[in-house]
Amino acid sequence: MRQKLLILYLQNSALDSRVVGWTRYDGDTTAPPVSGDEDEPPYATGLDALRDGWRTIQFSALEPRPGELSYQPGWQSFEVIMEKIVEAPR
Amino acid sequence: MKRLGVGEMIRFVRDGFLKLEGLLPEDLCDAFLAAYVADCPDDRCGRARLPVVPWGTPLTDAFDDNDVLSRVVSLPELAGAIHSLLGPGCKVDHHVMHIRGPDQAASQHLHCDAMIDARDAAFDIQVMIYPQNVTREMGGTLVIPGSHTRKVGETSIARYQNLAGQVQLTGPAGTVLILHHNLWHAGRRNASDSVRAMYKLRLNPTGSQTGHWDMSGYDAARARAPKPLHSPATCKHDVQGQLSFFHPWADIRSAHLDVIQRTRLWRLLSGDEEFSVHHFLSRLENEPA
Repeated sequence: MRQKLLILYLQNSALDSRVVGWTRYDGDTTAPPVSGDEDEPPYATGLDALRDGWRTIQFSALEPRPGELSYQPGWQSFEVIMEKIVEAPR
Repeated sequence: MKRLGVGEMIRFVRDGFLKLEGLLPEDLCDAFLAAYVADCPDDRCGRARLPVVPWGTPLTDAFDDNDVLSRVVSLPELAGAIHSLLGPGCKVDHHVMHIRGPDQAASQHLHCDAMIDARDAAFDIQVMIYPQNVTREMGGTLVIPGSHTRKVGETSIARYQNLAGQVQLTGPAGTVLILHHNLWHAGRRNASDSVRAMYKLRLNPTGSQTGHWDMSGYDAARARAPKPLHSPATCKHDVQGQLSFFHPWADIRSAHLDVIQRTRLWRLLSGDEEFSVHHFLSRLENEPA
């Protein structure tokens, strides 16, 4: 078995909000991951990915910002890590 | 020198970078390639050809008159942009050559240069020079517009592979990028059969960064005048309209905070301490006794 990961960054904490960033790691290939080559997200929303068979394994926690950082924007606030499991080649 | 105007300053504050397409003339690109890049297969070779410039050297003293780089930094448009953003008397932080070989499989990770920078609004700039035509296949620098307001340390953000609205640099030989030091960027993979070179020069301010640009077309009272919330920019000189832009990669919560950070940066560059994009920052400063 091999794991494929799709990491989505969403516009807010709802899974049906718009995808604003995305990352892929594929345990079924030896090709290295590449940054910055894709123009369009693989799905419009996180929910669309779920409906296409991606299983959610982690959401970023919902938590208030620490007071001393309240005016400093963070990085991507709403990350969803999803997986598909594929058969390893025989 | 040719200083930046209000439209260019707004763009820098909104996006964190400026692109000066084909700024170096052809003969200067040829001289640059011959001096620093020709027959170099990798970074080490290219870097060995650069003159040694200790950090803290005034830019005006950094290069001998016969160095090609002296001609580059003397170009009126580039000298004017540096002056506009940093003020007079800037100093060299460091410079470096990046040479990426052909047929690469991997790219750089998204990153900022160096550690988290705790300065509030003051900033360095990085001048990136591309002495040859850069096509998309050659993997020019990837930049994330507007990310300069998000402080990060080095490759902490390496997990982000693609962000909506990202820009893949392409352009004719002689193109120059001027980046806020905190802009997220990466060298994309060079999938072409050509070597690609990029020279980077980081510069530090030595004094106030306020009011060194061409403010002749700037009306502070008009820039500060209240506008309806979420009204779109009316033109490239509409300061509030442009600086209230939400970049497409930003989640809504953080996008509002980006506007506050851009407001602080505009105050620094314009000297207008009462400027606020809508009531976003001025509201937070309202603490009646």
